[in-house]
Amino acid sequence: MADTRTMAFNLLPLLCGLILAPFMIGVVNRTKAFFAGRNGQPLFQLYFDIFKLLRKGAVISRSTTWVFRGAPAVSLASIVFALAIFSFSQEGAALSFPGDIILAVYMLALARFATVLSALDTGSSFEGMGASREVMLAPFAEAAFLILILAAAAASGSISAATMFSAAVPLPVRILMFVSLFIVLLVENCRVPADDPNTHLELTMIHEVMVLDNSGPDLGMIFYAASLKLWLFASLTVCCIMPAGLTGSVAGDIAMRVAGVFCVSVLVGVVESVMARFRFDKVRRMLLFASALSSLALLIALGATA
Amino acid sequence: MNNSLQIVFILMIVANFAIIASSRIRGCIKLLSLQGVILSLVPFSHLDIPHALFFCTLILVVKALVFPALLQRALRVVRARRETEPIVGYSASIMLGLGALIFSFWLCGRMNIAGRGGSELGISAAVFTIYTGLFIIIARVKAITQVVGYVVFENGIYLLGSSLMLEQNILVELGVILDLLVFVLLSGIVVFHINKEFDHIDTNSMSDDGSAHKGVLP
Repeated sequence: MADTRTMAFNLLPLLCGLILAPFMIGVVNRTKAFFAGRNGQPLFQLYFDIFKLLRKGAVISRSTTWVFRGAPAVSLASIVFALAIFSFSQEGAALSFPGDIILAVYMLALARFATVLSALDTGSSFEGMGASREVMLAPFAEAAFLILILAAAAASGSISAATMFSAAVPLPVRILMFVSLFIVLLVENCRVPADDPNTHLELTMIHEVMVLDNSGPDLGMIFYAASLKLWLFASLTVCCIMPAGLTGSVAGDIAMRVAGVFCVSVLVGVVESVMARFRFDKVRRMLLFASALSSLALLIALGATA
Repeated sequence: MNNSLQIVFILMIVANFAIIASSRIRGCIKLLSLQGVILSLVPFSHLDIPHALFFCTLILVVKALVFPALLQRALRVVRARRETEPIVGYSASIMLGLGALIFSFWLCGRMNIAGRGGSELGISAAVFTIYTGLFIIIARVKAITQVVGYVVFENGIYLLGSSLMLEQNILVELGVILDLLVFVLLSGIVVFHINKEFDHIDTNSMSDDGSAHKGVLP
């Protein structure tokens, strides 16, 4: 009986993510609407959109191959995989083993790879441009993220995601990790200083331009995967500030985490409302700055344990 | 070591990175002022409250208010907005800064200071700030940015002094602040006059075509 209970608690954070992620996009959009003085779209708009798209048929260009048809599913599956590793409570994760964090990073990279490949597969010059921009920023975002993970590993002495973001990591390191991860979140999820999710100018966007040819259920999967990715990064960002085991009970922890994620989405909305999009070279500079913060966290973590 | 002091040192390092990465001179000066505010918290770590309050106010007034105000004034007069062609690009500057940071940590790890009551993170931050200041002086071409680099350099020296907990720190520091005040005043005047003669404050083009440009200087 105890085993089933533990298992349920391990799956709970993952389920929260799978169910609540589209709602989080609604919170971001409502925050932006508030700043613009509008009422904004319904909080559940993305659910409606996804269900509408799932009921539609897909239009697939004749110039594309199976790569284009398979990419949305691959990308969604690998993000769910990464989310399973990163959704943890203090008692464990839905999926956890030593070194799992590297696999999660690779899963995120695989999702990106599939999207880029499908964009190139369409043969559209716009999508090719979006793909080239995506891979231009990707290594810098991954560097910042990986160094940050190293810092957490060095400070906590663990190489599993579930125990890495713990209270054993000193507070200054956790604050640095929070800031760095938030910058990575903005870039990885194509939020404002890096990319504008609302723009319809193919010349300036990154992620949106790569999925221009997708329609119907494929587009629904892409939307859902994007919201899951935002949830993944937001919950990790929250874990930097509020490590697992803060409230004592597992359920309380998960509730705190979910509340924290919505705070982060409000923060994302505020950033989007008060900032303009950066030039591309400035985005790269911002990511290098995030890498510098991660490296500083790593150096301090090494100094603290030595 | 307590967390709050550690956070002060970390903020110092982050401010250095921000100064390295910012292309607008006005932004640089604002960050310099922020660095002054951060620096003014350092005296509380090793002095008794009345002394610390005195130094905190002194640093706050000189480094967070007077210097930035003087530099802003010079900037207004010369109408330079940003470093158009830095010698080292901004992304490369961050990478070099990262190298300097790692080197400073390695260096201070070897110095074995923690045993003598100093703060290791503080000295790493100080050495890194010194490197940053020197780097800005050589990597940027506008005279105002070079003055910013000089002030950052001096901030590093102050931080080094207080991290090593030198006994005579107060006297030394008073002297340095006085020196620096004179320096910034002078450089403000110099920058203004360079600008008047040459129409720009680009130090690279002063040696050759500057005089030919207007034919004023011998």
